[in-house]
Amino acid sequence: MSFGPSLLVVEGILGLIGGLIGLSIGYFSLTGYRETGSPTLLRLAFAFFFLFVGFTVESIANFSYSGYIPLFAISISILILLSGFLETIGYFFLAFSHVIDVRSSKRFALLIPLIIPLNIQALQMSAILGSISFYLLLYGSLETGLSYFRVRKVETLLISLGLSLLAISEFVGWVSYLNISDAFMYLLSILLRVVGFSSLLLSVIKFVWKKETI
Amino acid sequence: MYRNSLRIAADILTITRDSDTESGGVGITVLLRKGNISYKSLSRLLKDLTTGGLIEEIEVKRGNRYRISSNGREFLQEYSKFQELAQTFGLNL
Repeated sequence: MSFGPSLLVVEGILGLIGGLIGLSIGYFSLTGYRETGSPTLLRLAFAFFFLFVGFTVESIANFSYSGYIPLFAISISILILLSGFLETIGYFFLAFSHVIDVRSSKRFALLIPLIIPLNIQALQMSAILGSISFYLLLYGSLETGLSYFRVRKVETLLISLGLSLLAISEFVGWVSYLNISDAFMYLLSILLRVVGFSSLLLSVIKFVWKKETI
Repeated sequence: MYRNSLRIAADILTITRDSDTESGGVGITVLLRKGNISYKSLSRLLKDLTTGGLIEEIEVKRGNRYRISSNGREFLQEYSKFQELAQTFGLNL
């Protein structure tokens, strides 16, 4: 990529913040799984741990490309691909939780034809992974938004908003990948991702407080 | 409404807690009626919950009665907390 080192460092830092938020939510979900044995919480924990590792690997790649940390016997492109792969798996688990929960596999199947035409245009693997992530996030956001009418919780709307922002971030990132000279779009996608993750964190932060007071 | 096994167990524990009067326990008829569950499933579940230490079996003259243990109350508290977390994501435990 033709972005300057300073922009990559900013992306690296923002990626680490997003990763830490993912780690926090993953940890709460795992604690919940240990306490109750609920498979739903295990899927959530998997989702956010994959996202945490994905973002961390992506940050390492950015710091390495900027020359801040050395790389041994592994290329940056492999790290980028690995991070994209891990993040897509994380988003898959998020969407998968909804498929199991509402048992609406027919709705999920609608995503498949949407993915294929877009991917034909995408030549790079990371762009393909980004487009898959986009649809998974869009699906998760839609399902969560629909769940609001059942549970009537403001936090559910925040989660839906967060997932929507993450989806837009993937889309903007995908567009910036096609037009690699557009640094603004690239930075915007990273900012949207962090705001999206912050929205997710805001909706679960009260559980940290509750844990301490019980 | 679909209930998974975890939800059914939580429902039975809640009934055991709420319907208990003066720690005399709850009879199986009440659990069957309020829990909306078959006798076979309830018998298996009660055995699991007793083995897991979440409820206690009280032997009385005419059949057994059940009361929630302190572990069971703790489990319900945790269940309620994480059910709220799952609902935040638009999911059920």
